[in-house]
Amino acid sequence: MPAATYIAIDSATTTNATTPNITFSSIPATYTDLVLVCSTKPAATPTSYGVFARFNNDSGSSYTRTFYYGWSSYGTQSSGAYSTRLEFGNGGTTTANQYSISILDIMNYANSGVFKTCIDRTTEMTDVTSGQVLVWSSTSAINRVDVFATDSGNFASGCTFSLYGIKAE
Amino acid sequence: MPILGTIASSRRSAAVATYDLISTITVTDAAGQLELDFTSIPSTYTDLVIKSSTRALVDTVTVYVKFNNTTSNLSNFNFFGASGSVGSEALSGSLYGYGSVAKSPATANTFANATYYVMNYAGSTFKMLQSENTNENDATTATQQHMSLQGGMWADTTAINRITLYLGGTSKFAQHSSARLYGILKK
Repeated sequence: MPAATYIAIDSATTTNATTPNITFSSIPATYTDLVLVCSTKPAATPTSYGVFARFNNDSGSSYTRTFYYGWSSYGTQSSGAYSTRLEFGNGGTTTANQYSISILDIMNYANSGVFKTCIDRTTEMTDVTSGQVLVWSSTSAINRVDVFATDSGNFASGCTFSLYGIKAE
Repeated sequence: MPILGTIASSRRSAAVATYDLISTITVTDAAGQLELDFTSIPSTYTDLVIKSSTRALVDTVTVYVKFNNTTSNLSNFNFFGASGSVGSEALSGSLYGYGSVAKSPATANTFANATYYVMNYAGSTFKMLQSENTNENDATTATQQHMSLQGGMWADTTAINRITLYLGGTSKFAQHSSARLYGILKK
């Protein structure tokens, strides 16, 4: 008998424009991978365009990424240096009714023998579509995920964050 | 539930299994089929996912998407790698990705695969689509082979109750092409 998987663990929706971050805490270690699906926009025009995350509240220089992106007629690839946060989304537009979409796969999140690899796909329709692979250089099992709005900013009302768990067996 | 703003401990009730199969379409006609058309989609989920396996009866690899049978207010970003090159396209007026294998020069029996994710499809905001498409076709000449990441938007606040994949014009999907629609319900 196949086991049910892709389990909806938790979700949140912002109801005002004064929310700077979302915290999923006490994440059970009973799944193999996590999927975080975000629909975001900033409350005000940001100074940068990322949506950020940290695992287990780690603010050290533990995060790296390689990404490709395309906009208009231009596509490119790049890698980043170590960062104090995981930059995985795009929150650049304040256009009414328009939210960016990000799907972040967090692989082997509870495996204490590996650094944690993530795969992200993001689209923000005034700017870019991008894909990236990200690594948190820690062997600690992830039990907490914080998602932050763009620098010193807040999420707009109506942003959604959904966390799912996937079992391999 | 997760904490908005100030960090605090989490309170969570039982998790819920989701990713439900809503419908499957398979092309059985050897003459092909114009559209893979999901109609009367229930509004009871949060997001939708379509998994497709397609091949065209003509020389095209482009698969278009439309919602509620309209092609108005659509826009698209498409980032792709193709036959040793990379590129990007922005387009208003349609949603498309390289999600099919063309009739020629593809090897017989090869089909492309794509995953489409439609977020908040029953909500009252603009509808966002993201898809990943591959169309390796086992041909010795590297043409019409792509990987692509497609981002699209339907600038309409109407709930989606119909999603159609099509090749454009009179082009048809080949026999054995298929698509499956899943519903995902958040906690």
